[in-house]
Amino acid sequence: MKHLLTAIAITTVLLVPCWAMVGADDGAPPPVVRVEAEDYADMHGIRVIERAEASRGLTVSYWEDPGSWLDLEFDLPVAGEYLISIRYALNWPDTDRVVLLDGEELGEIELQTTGSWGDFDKITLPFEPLELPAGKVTLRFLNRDSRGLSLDRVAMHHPDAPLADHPLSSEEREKLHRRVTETVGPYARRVLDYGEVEFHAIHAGGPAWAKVSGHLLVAGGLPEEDRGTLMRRRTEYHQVALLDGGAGGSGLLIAITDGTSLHLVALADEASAIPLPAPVLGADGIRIVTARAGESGDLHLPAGEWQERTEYLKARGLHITAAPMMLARPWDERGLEPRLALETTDTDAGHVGVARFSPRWGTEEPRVGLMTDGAYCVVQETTVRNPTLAAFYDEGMFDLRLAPNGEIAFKDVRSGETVVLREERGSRPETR
Amino acid sequence: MAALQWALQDAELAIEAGLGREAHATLSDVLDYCERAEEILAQVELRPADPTRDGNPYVAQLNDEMEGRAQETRLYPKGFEGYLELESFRGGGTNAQVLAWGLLDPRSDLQHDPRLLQRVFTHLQAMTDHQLGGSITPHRASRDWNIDRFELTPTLETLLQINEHRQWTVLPSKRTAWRDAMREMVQYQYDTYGFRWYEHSPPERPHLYPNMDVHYLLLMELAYHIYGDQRYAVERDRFVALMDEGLLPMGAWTYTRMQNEVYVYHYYNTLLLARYYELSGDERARDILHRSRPYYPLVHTPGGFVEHSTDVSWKHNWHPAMASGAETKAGMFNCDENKRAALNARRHETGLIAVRAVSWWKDIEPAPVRDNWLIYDSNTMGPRGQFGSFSFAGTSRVTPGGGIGRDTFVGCMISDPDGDPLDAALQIATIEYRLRPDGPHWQNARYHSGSERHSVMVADEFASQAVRYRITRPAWGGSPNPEMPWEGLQQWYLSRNRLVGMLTIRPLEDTEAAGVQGRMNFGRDREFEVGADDMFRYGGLIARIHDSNLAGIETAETEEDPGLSPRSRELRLMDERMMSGEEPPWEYGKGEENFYVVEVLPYWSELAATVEPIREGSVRGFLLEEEDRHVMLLHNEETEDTVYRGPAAGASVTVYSPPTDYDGPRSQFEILNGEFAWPPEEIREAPAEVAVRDGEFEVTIPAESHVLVVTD
Repeated sequence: MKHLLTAIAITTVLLVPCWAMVGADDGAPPPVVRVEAEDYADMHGIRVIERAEASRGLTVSYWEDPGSWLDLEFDLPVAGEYLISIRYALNWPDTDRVVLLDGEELGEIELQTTGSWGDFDKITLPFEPLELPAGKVTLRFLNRDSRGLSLDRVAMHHPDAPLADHPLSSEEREKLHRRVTETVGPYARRVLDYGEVEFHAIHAGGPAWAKVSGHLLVAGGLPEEDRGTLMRRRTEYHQVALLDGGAGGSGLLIAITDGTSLHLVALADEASAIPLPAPVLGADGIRIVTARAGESGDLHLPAGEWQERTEYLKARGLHITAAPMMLARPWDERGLEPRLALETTDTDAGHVGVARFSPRWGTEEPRVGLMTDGAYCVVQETTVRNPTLAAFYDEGMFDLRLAPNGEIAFKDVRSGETVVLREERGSRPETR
Repeated sequence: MAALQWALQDAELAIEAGLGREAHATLSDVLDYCERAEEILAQVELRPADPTRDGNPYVAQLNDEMEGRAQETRLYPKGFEGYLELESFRGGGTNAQVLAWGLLDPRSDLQHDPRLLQRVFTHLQAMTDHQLGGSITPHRASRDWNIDRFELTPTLETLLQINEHRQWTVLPSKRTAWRDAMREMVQYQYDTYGFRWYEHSPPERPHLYPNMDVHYLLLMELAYHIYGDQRYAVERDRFVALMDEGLLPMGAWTYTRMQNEVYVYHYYNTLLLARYYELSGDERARDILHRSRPYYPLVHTPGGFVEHSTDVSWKHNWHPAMASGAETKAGMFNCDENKRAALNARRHETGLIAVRAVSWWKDIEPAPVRDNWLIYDSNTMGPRGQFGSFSFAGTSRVTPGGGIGRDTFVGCMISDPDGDPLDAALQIATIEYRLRPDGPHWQNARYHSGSERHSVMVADEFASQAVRYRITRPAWGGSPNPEMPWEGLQQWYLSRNRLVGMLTIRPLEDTEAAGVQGRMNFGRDREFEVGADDMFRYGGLIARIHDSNLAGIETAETEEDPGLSPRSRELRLMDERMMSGEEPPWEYGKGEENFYVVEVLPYWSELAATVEPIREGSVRGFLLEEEDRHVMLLHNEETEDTVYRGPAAGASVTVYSPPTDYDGPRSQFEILNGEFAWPPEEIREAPAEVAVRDGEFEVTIPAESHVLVVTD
């Protein structure tokens, strides 16, 4: 199941391609070609290693010897301008690489530390856009005289689809915003209202979109570093939901938070385990949440362990919400005991797993509200909804309805506001 | 043989204590018994065992305990030194009565067990040895005069039983010694507690003390049986009349004078009065008990607990409901309501006094469990309601002629039939000024009420009450309570979903204090959770502070003091001066008000959408918006009526007022003199429709009363 999710208001029936938000003038999606580093065309002196945080769990590393290199082959679909972006991790303060395109040196780049070999970051290389014809090109990354680097993935993409580099300058932001507002039609403008979302923070490009409906914010395709920004704005919303593809591009992960509790909803149409994004899986192989069909269980973490795990998750960049920080503090202040509860089920909508991170409700264990309603799968913040306890623990109330046809309806119960997300099949490009 | 063995041991103790003549008399009797053994044994007539138990749980309970009691070996040293070794004699008398039941009752598994005989004798002898001039309390560490009656009454009962069924086992010297010692104790009670003392009570403070009076009247009855002294019969009759006088309209007794009854004492009153009826056949006692029947069905929650907020301020307790009082009334009157109340208690008390319910237990069909009711309880003179496992009660009973005032006017609790008998309770809600910033409330704060001006209204779905009162210094020991230059105001709304209250305190003159503090005590045995938006959770109860001009709030453990149970935690709202970190005292100007507005609700109720204080002129109260209702509680504290205009939507509002100028019975319970008619039809003031003009209503609030203005 490939998901291309479009935000529409409940009263709106028009489906609008989210590409319109950042696409080219003609409405076609800007070209993005990604190549995993481990899928190299050729190399000298490098090794492919497993790292849970890397896309697909693999990365290229151990090329600290001068003279080692890596060739990646790209098949550009159309002629046009291209930038180069990379996803990498670096424990050293910095490292250098020489970049060559079809044997011609483009220049030498200096990459800054990401903090650890497990923290991956993305940048767009500081080269002018390359005018390239359609067809195959080869990029070489050469360690001329520097030290190690964990290279995860490289993308060549149109300048209008920036992957990640730095917050946009005011000029760039204005330009991008103008392009959006000029490009999308009246319907789309209404549907793709950015509302309170900090536009400049959405610098990752790609299929990013957001929908604000009163007290409800739903966004998708955001780069990890921006999710935290959105989450920190949670106080303006009752609920924030972020949608993302599962690791390796399969399945769907929905992170929902109200600033106190965090729900991770994983959805897949295969009977196998749903591969969740790396941050949810520990580097040491500890699986915090599994969503294998038919399995169900609870895992209760003592407070001390939870704290440790919080740090761990933070260190591993659970930027999907940045919620652990937000969660832990109010819980600690109020003497509430953090809990983790897991549930899975099979429904017509797919195989669904839900992890609930929340404070304990007095003597009660919070339970994930995972149930079926006909062909729909319904996720609520808890099995037995109690508005007073929800207010006491500062928890929001939501209904998430997953339909077999891929439609997702997300409702904030307090305000009654709803956002319906519908799948556009077949138009989603390969994602990381 | 057991009696003689016991006598030898007793003689040894007498020798050890230097009581040669007593030892000599005992040993002479032993020798005499040995010589006349055949003659004595010829008199023996033992009651045969009764193998039937007919499901009586009290028989089973006593039999379960009896073997353990039979194995006790404690001895009581004789002489004054031995007396001083004992800190208290508490519980010994009832223990002796239980042992006597085990020894003598045909349903006892250990009937005729020699160990029980020896334990009974040990107690009777100890009581004889440890009374000084008719009392067992002199020179004890904490002398409680009531202990004499608590202990002597069951001991005398034991002596009566032994005299009746085992007299031949009692050596003549012991028979005389026990009889004489008990007589001295009875006479001491007659001289110090009896009618002559009662006669000296000032008319404005009449003597009423049912739980002691009932001990005394049974004591007099037993003494009359044993000693045949007519004075005791006369005294007994006087106190039967007092038990009648202390009975309140819905079956409770007073505690002292006209104070609200404390639950546990109803149980003593019932069991001992029933025993008196059993001994005497006095129909007056039966009639009093008959009229007391509504009490247990009113106060036993289906979850098996009892509220203690309406108890007097120094007797708030955490007793679960106890079955045997209700079982006694159920058995006496074939009363299905009391049978239900007994079953609601769910447990048969482990206390020894259960022995008194054995003979009354009857296997009758209980009344159905009642739910969802709200009435005016004439016992406490306040609302009482129960909705599922949430229940609440209020009180406006004042004590003529003084008495320690109240520290709370309302309370609520969650008592769960499927869980703990008590999940959580709001025991006390008050506001106080401090003499010292910290330390025990009873010592270092003033909050007890006096000169109260109450109004109470009970409608079908909700109730309200309001009170203006002086703050007093409690004068323990019965003298009048001095009024302090401070006063309090409280307004409360009570419904199936919540209690909402505003509590205010203010000085009546420029004065000094070490702070002003709001206080709410919750129990029991839990910790608070602190939630969002000034909410605090204690078990299933949530308290939300909606408004206050007090500066800080904290949770704390309740200290042990006479008025509070140590098993509770409290919320404290402190004023700015207390939070300043400076040294008290601080000045408080005349009329300077501190207040807080709180909502207390079970977690399954939805929070009130709005609770806002109303503080306009002489009117205090609050606006409350809940699910389907818009309520304004308006309390006029002044002695003149006042007119209030307020905004309202729609064409009219409904105004609920407390009954005025009505001294008659408030409910069918009273009209029917204790007969059950559930639900009781109450005498209620019909609500009035008041037109809304230009978006405003106008209502007259009677002096020192309140109204509820409701828009559905």
